[in-house]
Amino acid sequence: MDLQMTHYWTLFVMIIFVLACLIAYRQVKLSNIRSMNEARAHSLIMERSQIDRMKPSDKQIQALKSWKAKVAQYAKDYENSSEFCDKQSSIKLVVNND
Amino acid sequence: MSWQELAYKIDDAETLISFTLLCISFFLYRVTSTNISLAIWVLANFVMERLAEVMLDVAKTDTELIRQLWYLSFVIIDTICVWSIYLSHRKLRISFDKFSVFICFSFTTMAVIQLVRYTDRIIFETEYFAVIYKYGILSLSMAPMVLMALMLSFSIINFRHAQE
Repeated sequence: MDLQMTHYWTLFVMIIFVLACLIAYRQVKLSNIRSMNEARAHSLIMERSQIDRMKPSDKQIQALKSWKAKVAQYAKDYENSSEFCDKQSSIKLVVNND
Repeated sequence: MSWQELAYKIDDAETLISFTLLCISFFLYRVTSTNISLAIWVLANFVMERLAEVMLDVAKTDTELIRQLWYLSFVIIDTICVWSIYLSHRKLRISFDKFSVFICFSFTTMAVIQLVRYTDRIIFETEYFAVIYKYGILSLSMAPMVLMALMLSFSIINFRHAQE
């Protein structure tokens, strides 16, 4: 095999490995987004259960308002992240606000 | 002292400091996403340094072989490292944190830089990316160490504040 051909073969093998590296990095990135979504959903659920345990008061109404805003923001971020994240793999927080 | 000698000295110091940081972090937090990634990072750095020494030795007798293997071997190691970080997290069921994502980003960027440099130097013989390669690889290998040192210092300061 002549030298130029060896160069091309090496380049070909390197491209394969770099592609494998990029695929692995994408998987890591998706897992990171998934775990961030899950952690956020979990903290929202915990916050709601705390609000539900509060006595009826202005403080509870305020907390509920702020919680609803956070859920709306979460839903927005979830939709954005799910464009490149596997939709079935992260938690979709479905909430009945009424 | 040539640039290459200086780069090896910096790399050696970086591996040693990273290993010390890993020991401290492992002592404080045990098995976490950060520690797994940092352990793989330290191991990869150590292997790459030793491999570079061996390849430079072999290059005295067979230059062409090393010209082919130099960039290829680093790309292979970078790829194996990103996959091992991903698989170890899946196996241990640990969520990725930002530091692990950053380590994987560094490995991936280094693999891409190696590929670009090989194409630039061996295929096209243009030498456009010589400077980017020279400083890019060194700064990418230093960045996780600096980040880890900052993270550890902040967490130790926070821990002391919480105790007061």
